[in-house]
Amino acid sequence: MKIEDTWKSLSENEERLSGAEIRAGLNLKSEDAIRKLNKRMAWKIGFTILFTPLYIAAFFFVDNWLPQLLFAIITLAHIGGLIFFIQRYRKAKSFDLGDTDVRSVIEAYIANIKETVRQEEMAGLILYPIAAASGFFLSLLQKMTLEEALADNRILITLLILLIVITPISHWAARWMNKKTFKKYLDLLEDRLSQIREEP
Amino acid sequence: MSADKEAEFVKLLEEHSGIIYKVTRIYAKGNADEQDLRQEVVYQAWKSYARFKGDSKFSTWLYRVALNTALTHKKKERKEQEGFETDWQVAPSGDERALLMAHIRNLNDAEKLVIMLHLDGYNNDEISMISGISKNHVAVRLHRIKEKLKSAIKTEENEN
Repeated sequence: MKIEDTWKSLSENEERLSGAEIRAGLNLKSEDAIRKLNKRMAWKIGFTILFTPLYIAAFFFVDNWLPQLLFAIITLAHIGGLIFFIQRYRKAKSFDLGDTDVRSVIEAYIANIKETVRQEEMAGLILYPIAAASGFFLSLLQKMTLEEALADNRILITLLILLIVITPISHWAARWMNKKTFKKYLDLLEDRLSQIREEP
Repeated sequence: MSADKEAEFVKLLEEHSGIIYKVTRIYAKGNADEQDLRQEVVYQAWKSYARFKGDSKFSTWLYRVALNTALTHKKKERKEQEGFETDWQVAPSGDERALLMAHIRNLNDAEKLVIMLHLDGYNNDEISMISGISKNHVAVRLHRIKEKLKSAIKTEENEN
């Protein structure tokens, strides 16, 4: 066997990559972004699982109906949030870039993540004042009764100010955290989407 | 990068994809790994394409990207899959091309690189440029590798 001749015949019969295979390779970065985003969606499930028992414990820790009611609302909201995140995570995991219509897959994937984040932030707007009030009463009721606290206007005004301050700050912090967690990878997918849209 | 640039890249890569097949076939640990490595090379080439100014031939540039990716991939694989056997099929006796490939795969990484470039028609200067091995060293190595391959092939042929 002459090495050079054998190599030449090998090269002549070598397979070639098709345009579709090459384009699949170009999507590797998008696949990586999707993997990372899915992981971050899983974090949300993890954090919800981590915090829910704390609110349940707090419910049993207090012996007053008002903070108990607030903690019950928060616990139920967390359980609802957990179900919501699991559903969204499963949906996110179901997207496959190997699909022939990569554009639709990326568009739907981005929409799923953005919608999840948006709904979470909206639900947060309702929950932050409840959480703040529950914490407020939890500490206050160590010093006085609920009746005394509700009869004192200064306490009610303090609570009102607290809610007015805490709610937008918490909302802003949640948006900032979501931006930190998701934006980089969503931008990667948006970039890929723009490239695909420009293709003739 | 623009859609035009992407279309241009896809066309160029289609034309020169034989290089990718050769490199991945020689450096990958098995069939599944070869496919992964091929995709990785395509992706790395695409990532680096913006920096390709046409100073060298596209094929030379692609060789460099493919080899670098293959070597990095191998390091990563070695760490992740220590102890795993390769799933390459043993070359069927009588198939000279498969036999040659099998013997090239048995060489070390630097030897594989030098012989592959040489067999693909690159001169010692170009091999030196792509591989980073000095020109004199390329000539010496090339001679040794050829002897090694010939002897391995001869032994195999005698056994059959």
